[in-house]
Amino acid sequence: MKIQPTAIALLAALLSTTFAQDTHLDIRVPDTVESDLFGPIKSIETDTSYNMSTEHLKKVRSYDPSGNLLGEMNWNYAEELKSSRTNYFNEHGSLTEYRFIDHTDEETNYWEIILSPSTRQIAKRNKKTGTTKLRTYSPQKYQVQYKETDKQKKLIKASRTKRRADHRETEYTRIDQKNRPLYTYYFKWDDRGFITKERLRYHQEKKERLHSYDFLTVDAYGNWTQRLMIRYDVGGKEKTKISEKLTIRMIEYFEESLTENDYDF
Amino acid sequence: MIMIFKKRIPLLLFIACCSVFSEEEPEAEEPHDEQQEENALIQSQFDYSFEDISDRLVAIKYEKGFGNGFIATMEGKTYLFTNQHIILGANQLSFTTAAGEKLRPRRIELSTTRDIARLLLADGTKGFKITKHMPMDSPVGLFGCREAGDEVALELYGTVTGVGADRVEISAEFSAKNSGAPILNIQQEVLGIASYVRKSRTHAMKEGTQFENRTRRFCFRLTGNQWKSVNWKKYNDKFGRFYHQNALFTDGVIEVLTEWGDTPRDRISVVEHPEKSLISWVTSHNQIIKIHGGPTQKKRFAAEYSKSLKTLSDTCARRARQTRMFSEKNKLTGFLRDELSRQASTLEWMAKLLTRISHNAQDYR
Repeated sequence: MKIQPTAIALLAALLSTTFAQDTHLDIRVPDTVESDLFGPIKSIETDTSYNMSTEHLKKVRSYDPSGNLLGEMNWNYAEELKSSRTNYFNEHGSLTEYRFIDHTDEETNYWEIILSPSTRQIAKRNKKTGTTKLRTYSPQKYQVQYKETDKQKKLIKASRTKRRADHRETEYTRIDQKNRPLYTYYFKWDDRGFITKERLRYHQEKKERLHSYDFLTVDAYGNWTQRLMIRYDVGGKEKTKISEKLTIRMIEYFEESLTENDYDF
Repeated sequence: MIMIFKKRIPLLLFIACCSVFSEEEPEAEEPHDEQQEENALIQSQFDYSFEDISDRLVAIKYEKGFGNGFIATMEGKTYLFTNQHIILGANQLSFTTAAGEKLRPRRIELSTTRDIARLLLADGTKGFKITKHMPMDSPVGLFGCREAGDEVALELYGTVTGVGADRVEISAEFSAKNSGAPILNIQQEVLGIASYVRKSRTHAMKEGTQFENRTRRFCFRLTGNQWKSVNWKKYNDKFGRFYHQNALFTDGVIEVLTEWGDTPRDRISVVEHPEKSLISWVTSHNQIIKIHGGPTQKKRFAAEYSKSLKTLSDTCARRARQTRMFSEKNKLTGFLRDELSRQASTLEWMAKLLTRISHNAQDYR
């Protein structure tokens, strides 16, 4: 599927219009739901390490009670704050702007938000560079397309997402600057709502990868808290392990964590 | 004195680098009070002890050594599991459970990628269950026999501190001598096999952090393996003995050079070692140390000393070539291929460094 050529014209229209009466929630589902998270999540601290290294990366995301992302902070291997993002909402709970700080080069960028509920689209424009990120949502409010263009409306990158009836992603295809598919992820889900396998097929070269997930712990809300990913190169029937990633999530909820007694009515 | 000091710099560098290659580790340190309390807390979660599972813990004895093993069921069969590095190179192996029962394995299979061997036992032998489930921070215990006396129990407790596709890291402070022992959870299920200990390199970046001088302990996972059945006698005769002898030689050279590095003008006191070629070199080198006298003798000493180091360098280089050749044999398991390749790299490095020191030693007085 090609990115619609009319999208650029639509974006131009979007950028000159405001939809103050609408909230972004009219267009898309909350961030926690989109991310396949369960329960009233307040924050998630994610710790990642590769190949059993003692070096770790840390990320913290905070949410409001409706599941909207309030902000995100990322630390590098030296435990230095690398970047931070803060979302700003208006009195209607609509996302109006976000700020992104790259702490490495101390550069701050502000992105303004333009909504188009009628086309189920949200555009985010960098006030400094003019770069625009346009997301299109399905009638069920799940993201199905993404497109990033520069100031001259030249395509930087894009993607499209296919979903099944319960809205879970089945395919994710990344598009390059020349509007050609670069690679596609095919997802396999289990009954718990976890992706257990991802098959990655590159379109412009003969290469295939497989990501296999093992969930070590799951909390009372059904969110995984420890996950091991193994990445393989696939060639015919052979697969060769190339790396592994261990992710640990510390999840804080708005309510007290569920205990066994919570189910004991 | 200054000259001697200068000569020692590359040697110190050499010894420091040897520790990078060496998987041998320090003896387990006495835990601090806080650590002891934590271990006691972990131990309290286990409702069984060594005695309760002694029928599934195995003491493995060979000519001059001892290792651990254990009995577990896999794919409907019962096996004795141990590390390949424990049994490789051994002439005579005997297997006895900690409860005193002699075991007679029927067949040996080797993991194609990990340092694990499984030996088929008779049907009906009681074994541990094996689990894939190993959450981070969950309590684990290492159970084994402390030394050749089968009845000397070893119990070490800790938690899972790292999980990978083929191995798991634990905090229970086992040493290399405890290789082959099972790592069990509180349900008496095996998470992995104690396999190796690695001390992290000291680095300025790590100073003051939790990783400074950190010793890490790894256990191979039993699940997700591919197994290769081997004719053990042939495999061991052809590859096992070579690997074992090479390990002795490499460790011996490190031992000799460590002592030599401390006192390069003194006799080397290592006179007993299973690797005869090394003892031969030590004997010859100690003869050179005796050379004293005027300028002519000093010149002779420098030349002989340099030549002696070159001889050792050449021996290392020869071994390295042979080891590299062996490491490329198709019949090897991935574990042995990697080990031989590692040994070859160590020997190549030793040879290179000894050549350099030998060259500089020509000016040695």
